[in-house]
Amino acid sequence: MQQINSAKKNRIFDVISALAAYELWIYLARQDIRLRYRRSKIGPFWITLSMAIFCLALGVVYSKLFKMNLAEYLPFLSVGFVVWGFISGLLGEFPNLFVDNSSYITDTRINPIIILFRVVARSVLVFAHNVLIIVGIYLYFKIQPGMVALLAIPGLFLVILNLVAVGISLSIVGARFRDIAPTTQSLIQILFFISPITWMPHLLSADSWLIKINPIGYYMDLIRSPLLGTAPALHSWAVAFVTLAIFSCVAVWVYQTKSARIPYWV
Amino acid sequence: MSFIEVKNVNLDYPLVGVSNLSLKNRVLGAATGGLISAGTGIPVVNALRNISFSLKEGDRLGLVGHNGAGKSTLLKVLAGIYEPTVGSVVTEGRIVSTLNLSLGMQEEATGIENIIVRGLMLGMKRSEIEKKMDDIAAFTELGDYLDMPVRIYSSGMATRLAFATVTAMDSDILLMDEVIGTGDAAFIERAEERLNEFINRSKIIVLASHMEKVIRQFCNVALLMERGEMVAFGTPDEIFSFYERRAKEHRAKNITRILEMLHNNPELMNKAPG
Repeated sequence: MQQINSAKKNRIFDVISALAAYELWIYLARQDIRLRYRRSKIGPFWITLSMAIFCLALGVVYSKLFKMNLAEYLPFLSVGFVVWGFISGLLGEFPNLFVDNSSYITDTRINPIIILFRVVARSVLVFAHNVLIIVGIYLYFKIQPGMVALLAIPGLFLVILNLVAVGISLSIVGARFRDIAPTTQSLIQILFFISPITWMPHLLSADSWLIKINPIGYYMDLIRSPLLGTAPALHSWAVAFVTLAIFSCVAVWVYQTKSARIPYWV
Repeated sequence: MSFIEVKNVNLDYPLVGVSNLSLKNRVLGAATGGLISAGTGIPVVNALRNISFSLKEGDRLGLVGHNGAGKSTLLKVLAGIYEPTVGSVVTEGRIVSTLNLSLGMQEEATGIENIIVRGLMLGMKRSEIEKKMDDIAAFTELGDYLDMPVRIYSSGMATRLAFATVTAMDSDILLMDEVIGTGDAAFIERAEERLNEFINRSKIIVLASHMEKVIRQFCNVALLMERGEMVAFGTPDEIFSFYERRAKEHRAKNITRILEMLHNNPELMNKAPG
């Protein structure tokens, strides 16, 4: 039985029903990638190739700028940039999520979380393609990260949960206020430069507030460090859990009170 | 058992990004559509007011009313797209709506892929869709084109695909905004047959249409709406005779109003063309 009413209802179940509709969002996510590259010869590996070229070019130039050994700098930059590509790509898509999918929202009953899961799944697939770059780095520089690399999996999972929580709020607010999308874009650019992606965290003094308040740094540590062979710092886990709790609370509140308004806004 | 239970539904539609309605628009706007109440905040249309009815299996409801009377909005509330501001809608059974026939159709995807997406969006499982695939494919008569991107289809072919997919669905409750159809003359007879079968298979239908013939053909009850309110609920015969009587009264009232206005402002006569 389906009940639609004005009375307050618990929308938390939307998350569960969206998980149950996994066939839909996984199919759509895979199709998005397939369609984008259908007529190209190397297909989705264009994503990988362009990112690899970018990492290589930036790695060579910046290792000279920072006067660092290429064998140390290039793996750091490449792994970091692949992770950053995942995070920034998703953050950039959230504000326009429902606007871009307005036909689904205004013409059929669809759980907004399904639309969110679709872009998250698509980004994870793109990320999976880019993992090839990391493998290439391992082979070329003969890096053997060992078992500690497996810690990147729970780290990635925790970061994805954080992004989903941010995405719920950001996509709903973005549907209502159209200035959120360009604002987010410029924030992402700033985040790129103030996060330890192209520069190593130890270049700043350890108590620098720039490092401390930026959650991206901790997220990078959770995924990048194990892939480079060291366990992430304990406080990175702690911070990621704390931000998850905060972002989730905001997400629950925004979703509970505003998700029914989305069809009027897009 | 499928049913629809609509209780005291009110829907206020916020008009985001629309501000400073001019007085002229406010006055003219009142003739069609719901009432727009522009307070200090976001202007709101009272799109539906005090709608209550219930439908059980076998009921075929026709929604009647002029443009902006709230027919489509009511369909969207029944479909679960809009949540009522006040009141409740309880439904039991799988709802299929044909509000947008080509919903989710991707130009670059093949016909087959589009069928799968549409089925998944209606809550079907992949296995269920695969079972229907042959039936859909046969009906479209698109043959090898089904493996090609929809981008290369003619508009008639695309409509066939959408039509065949939607009408293959099993719905308990079918919501239609105007009867769907295909423009292809050679195809029309088969399409009509399939559509009738599709409609008859559904346990409950709600159909909004401007065409009296359509409502009379498919519906056994009708609801007349005006400015978001229920004006009358009854058999199609009752509703249409009521509707006509009302339209006549309305015309008469309008003519009286114009004559009065001309009487009070004789200078308007000189401005009239001819």
